[in-house]
Amino acid sequence: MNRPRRFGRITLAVTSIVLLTSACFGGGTGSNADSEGGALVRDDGPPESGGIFQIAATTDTDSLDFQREASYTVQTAVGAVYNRLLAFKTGDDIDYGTNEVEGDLAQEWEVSDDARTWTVSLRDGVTWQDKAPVNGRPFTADDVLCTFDRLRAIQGHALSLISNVESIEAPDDLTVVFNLADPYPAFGETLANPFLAIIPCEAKDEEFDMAEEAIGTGPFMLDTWRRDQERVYLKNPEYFVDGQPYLDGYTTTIIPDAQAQIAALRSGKIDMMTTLSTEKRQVEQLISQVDGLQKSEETGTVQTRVFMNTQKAPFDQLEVRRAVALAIDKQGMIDNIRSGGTVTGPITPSMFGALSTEEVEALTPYDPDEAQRLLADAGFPDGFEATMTVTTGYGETIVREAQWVQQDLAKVGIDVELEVQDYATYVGDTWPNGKYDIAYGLQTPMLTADEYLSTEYLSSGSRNWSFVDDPDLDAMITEQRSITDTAEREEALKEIGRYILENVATPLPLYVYNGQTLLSPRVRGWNPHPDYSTREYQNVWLKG
Amino acid sequence: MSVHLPRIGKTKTLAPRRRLGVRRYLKEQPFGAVAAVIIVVFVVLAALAPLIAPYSPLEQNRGSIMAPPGGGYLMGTDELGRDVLSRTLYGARTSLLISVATLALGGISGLLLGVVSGYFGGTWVDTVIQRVMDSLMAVPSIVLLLFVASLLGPNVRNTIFALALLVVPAFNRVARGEMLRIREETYVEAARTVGCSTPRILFRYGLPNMMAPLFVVTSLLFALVLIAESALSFLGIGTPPPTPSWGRMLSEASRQMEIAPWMALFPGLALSVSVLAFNLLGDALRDFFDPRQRR
Repeated sequence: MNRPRRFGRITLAVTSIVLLTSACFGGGTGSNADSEGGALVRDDGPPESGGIFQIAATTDTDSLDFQREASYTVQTAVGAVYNRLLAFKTGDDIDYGTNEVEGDLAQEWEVSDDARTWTVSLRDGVTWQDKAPVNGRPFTADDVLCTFDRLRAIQGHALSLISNVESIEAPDDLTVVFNLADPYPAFGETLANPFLAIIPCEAKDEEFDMAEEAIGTGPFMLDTWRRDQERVYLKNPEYFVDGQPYLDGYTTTIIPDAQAQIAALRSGKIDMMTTLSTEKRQVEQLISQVDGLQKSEETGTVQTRVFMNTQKAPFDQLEVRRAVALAIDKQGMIDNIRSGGTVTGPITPSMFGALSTEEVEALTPYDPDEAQRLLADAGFPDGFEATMTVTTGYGETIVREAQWVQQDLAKVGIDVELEVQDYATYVGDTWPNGKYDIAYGLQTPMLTADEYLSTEYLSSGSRNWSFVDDPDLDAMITEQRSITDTAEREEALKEIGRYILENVATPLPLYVYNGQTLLSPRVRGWNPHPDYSTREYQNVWLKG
Repeated sequence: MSVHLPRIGKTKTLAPRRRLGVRRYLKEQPFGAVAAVIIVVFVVLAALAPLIAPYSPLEQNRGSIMAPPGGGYLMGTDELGRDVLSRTLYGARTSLLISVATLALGGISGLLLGVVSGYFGGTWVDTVIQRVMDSLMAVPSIVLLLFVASLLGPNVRNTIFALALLVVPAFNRVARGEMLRIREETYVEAARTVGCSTPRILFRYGLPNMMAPLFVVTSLLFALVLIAESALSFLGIGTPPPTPSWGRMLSEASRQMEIAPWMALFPGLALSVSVLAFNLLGDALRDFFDPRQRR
């Protein structure tokens, strides 16, 4: 046939294919429509047992050894396998991210009057999970001692959390006594830190490799781990909370691509998807398209930050760092890139001791003119050039935000070139070893104000990767720990926050963004905590 | 040589040679003609991008994030409120510059190696060069690109270097093949007899006679380099953000396909059409220069 006719037929074929495939978008899974407009379904009757909860994760962890690894990925991997002595409360009527604690492995605990001696009474009848070499033996106070011994022996990153602990004793099998050097009324919150989860003595004695295996007392047992593919957890039949966990188990599938996760959620292959980097409009569209999809909106606890290396010029000058602080339009980022959030100081707004948003805005307002003036004072009237490091490991939204910050800095004369790195290089080498000038990234939420300050702003902090070295600040941080009066301590923490914003300005906090978790229609009992420990999975149940 | 010889060296070749028949080309190769026009348009748009782009490609119009086409933005905006039309135009510029630089670097290297290798065909010089080329060709192209780009770091200069490595073997092969043919020609023998130096023979007798196949391979490789550069940027290791590059724009757009499909449509179309045009041009040139198809 001649060319025009063949061309016409090809056009017809292509057009019909396009029209047919366009019908693939839209339409929902049409399962039970309990949820209205994406709201979480609550009070849906008594919890039912059974079912496997399917989760998608963006990255897998390298190792299961949470005493060595500091990343949140290790907590999401083994948080439900271990228990701590105390834990943060979660529940339908409890504030998200509360710092109120309840006993996990502890039955009850007593604090001496001077807040220096903490006596913890352990639950009776708790057994370790039935896996070799621990084989379901009873849990005792010895295991607690082993946990802290190992932490000291390997010089784990969580050591800074217990820097105040002078000694730990176990007078009998079910009692542990912590003797602190300085009074610390909030030590309960320290014990509730998931990185201080209790491990069996067999782990300390290296009878099994904590990097490859996880054996705890927790609600779920790690059944299989196929690296970068999936992790399968099964219910621990001997768990010390009667009747729980409700789930028969849960599976975490590693799906790095957000679009693939969305597709899996649509088709019902996964029950939960966290939105580290999903666009707000995308979430809204999903809710309208998938019947019964639930959305849990969590007020932010993860801080976005600009890290400036005080060892690299010109970021060694305070005026330059302050200029950067004033050049960034934080509220603009919240409104345009995220689905909600709050401008924050060094301590997250929902936490005890945090500065109010108004005060933070007053100390670091969005003021490009003032920023340029500060730069001129510092000797850079025409700005300067630098390289800003950012990682893809937190998702594309972070890279997007980095470009926003780049543009903001360009407006005051600071020309940054973006260097995009993979997560392993960034978190393993570049960031901790200070191989950057300025970086944009997230900060895993710490659980207490003290944790933020001691790890990152203290000159000897284990995460002081901006190389802050301010003796006055060191003194202020150390002193506030021993203040017993709550109101006085809160004010002291706020003073530190103001000091940091005015005189240190790195790491520079920008804002905390609201998180959104999408859940399939059958999920109930969902009450997470920002500590990533996944302990709350013991309360999750599936309907129908 | 102290003897002055008549200017035999000026004669480029005694073999029959066609004049560059543009009109004949347009008549014989209609698809190729269309392709050539598209390419000219592409080059013009890329060159004039700073003049015709309505906005700066980096300017973030933060009030209009992911706005659909229409209003002030003919092709809509992306996830940071940047005009897609402007970024597509500047992306053409980026792609063009990178491709030209790549083909220049890789082409000249490949050409030199091929010409030398072909002229000394059969000797150890040829063997060594060809085995090196073989090992380069043995590595799958994407793997080679990823390896080099990751090793050196993601920026424009290293992307050009990595892509150049990719095209060197192709140029080398064509040049060598042609050179093996040309060195057997009588005029080369004659030149050798009168004492022309080897470099002179290579460049005055060899190169001009292999222009036709070189045009063809350049055009086809241009398409390949466009795609390879886009692939690298798509994977995140080519041109770094926020420099507009079609590959990178497609990567950013793929995450927003459901809510902002125009972000992918326009750079995707631009890329497809450009690659198609270069491929068609290469095919057409090959047919055009093929003596068996002469009239």
